[in-house]
Parts: sequence; C-alpha cells; structure tokens
Amino acid sequence: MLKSLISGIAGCLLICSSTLQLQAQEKFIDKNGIIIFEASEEVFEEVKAINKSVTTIYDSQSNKIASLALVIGFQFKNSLMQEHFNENYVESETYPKAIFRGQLQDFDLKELGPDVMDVNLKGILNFHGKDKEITTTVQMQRIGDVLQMIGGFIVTPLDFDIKIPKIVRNKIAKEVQVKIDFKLSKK
Amino acid sequence: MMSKKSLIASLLILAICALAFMGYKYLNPGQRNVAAETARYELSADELFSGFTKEGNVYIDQVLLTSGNVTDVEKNSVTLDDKVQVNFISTPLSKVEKGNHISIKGRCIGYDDLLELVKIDQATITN
Repeated sequence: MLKSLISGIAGCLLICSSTLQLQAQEKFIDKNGIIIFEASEEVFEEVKAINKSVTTIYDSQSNKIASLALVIGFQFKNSLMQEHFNENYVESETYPKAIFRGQLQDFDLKELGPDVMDVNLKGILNFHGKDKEITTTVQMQRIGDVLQMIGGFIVTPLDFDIKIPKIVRNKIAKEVQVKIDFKLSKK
Repeated sequence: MMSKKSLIASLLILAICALAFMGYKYLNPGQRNVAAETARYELSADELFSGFTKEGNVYIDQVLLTSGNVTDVEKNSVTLDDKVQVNFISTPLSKVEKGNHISIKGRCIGYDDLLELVKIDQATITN
C-alpha cells in the first residue's frame, strides 16, 4: 500500500517535472529586438526612431507572442525631436511601455526551417494607454535554435489618441510605418 | 584698407551667419551623446534594480554609472547580476565574459516586466 503510494507520488513528480522541462524548452526569447517606426513626409526632416532593446518572448506550444518596448528607448537622429516625442506626443513618463500580445495563426514551429515562411500574426498593441488590434504577416525562418521574425504594420497617431499640433501636422505623416526585426533564441 | 562701411557690412554678414548657425544647431542638435554626458547617479546593479520598486522612475532617461557581475553575454548586450540589461553603443565585447565584474555608463530606459530586468542603452564600459 505504502509502496504503491510512494511510487504513485514519484510517478506524478516525474510527469510534472518532465512537462515543466518540456514547457521551459519551448520558449524563445529576444532581449535585443529591433523596432523602427517612421512617419516622414517628403521634403521635411525625417521622423524616424529606432529601438534596439525590445524584449520579445515566443511560446511555441501556444504560439503566443509578447513583446515589450520601453518608449524612452526609441532613439531619433535629432535629440530635440526625441524630447518632443517623449514629452508632448506619447507622454512616455505616464505611459513608459508599448506592449504587444498576440498569437501566430495556423502555425506549427515543426514546419519551419531555413526557408522563409509567411505567417499571420494577430494581437493587441497597447500604447499610450490605448489598445489597437494588429493583424499582419511576418516573415519567419529558423536557423538552428534561432528564429528570425521580420515584419511590419501601419498605425496612425489617432489609433492611440496621440494629438499632433497643427503647426507640425504637415511634417508628420498620417500613417506611421512600424517595422520589426526579432531574433529569438531558444531558452 | 577696408572702408568703414564694408567693415560693418562684413561684420553684419558674419553675425547673420553665426545666428543662422546657432538657429540651425538649436533645431538640429544632433543625436544625444550619452558617453559624453556626466552621470547623474552612481549605484550598483542591485541598488538600481531595487530602486525601481522603491523610488519609481527617477532613473528613467538619466545617465548613470553602474557595476555588477556579468551573468549573460549576448550580441551587443550583457546582463549584470541577472537584474540589469546593458546595451552598448558599439560591440567591443570580445573582452567581456560571464563572471567578469564590469562598470558601465549608460542611459536607463526603464523596467522590463516581461524579463524582470532594468534596461540600459547607449552604454560604454568604464573600467
């Protein structure tokens, strides 16, 4: 009786630990992901910023993706523009993070190899206190234990309730191009 | 010998040029140079991490000096004491290995709650 109980518990523990291990192996992380956004208008000064320390976590079991960019980490060529962006437009002190939570659609990591594959990605981007649904296609490839994910989408300042003052309105594009470039390593 | 009139005129042109240059510099100050700025704070990676829960965001966008043991090296970034992730301006990282104790200067950009790390960018090694 006691023996079977012990072996039962041991069996449970074994199963638990092996599933835990399995789950732990399914995560891919990028700590230095790149996001670039651009809202330049022809003739006028470039409105473009790059963030090279974006965190992205992908769980291949659930296909879920979470990505976090610290807003102050977006670097502009013009530091004055960077200051205005943070203080007057996106209010990064109040809203320091941009977070995307989503899921790869109809995708199985086992099918991914060195050949580039188009994968649909759907989720919610939270920025400046507002949620916006994002549907896009990303290009993915797998080289060894590294998953590369490249893509982009378009948003507008209005989507996130960001007000652009009249005097600069013609210098900033109505549509903002966002590009992502992540290299996720197995953890 | 220059006449008084042409001297005044050339001085005026010079002044206008200087003003225009200043105006241009004001509107286009270029990229922020964190490496050349003086650090506002000096603290260990551990103190910086716990400071984020206690003092909120006083460190955000500030240039600071911090130090700790390297627990992870990746591309152009290192992690100090599993608490602070540091991204360097350039990539002379061949010298840095896990277990090294390093001091850096960089700009704090905030707390990443996905990885539970404080992040620093535009860093340079100071030791």
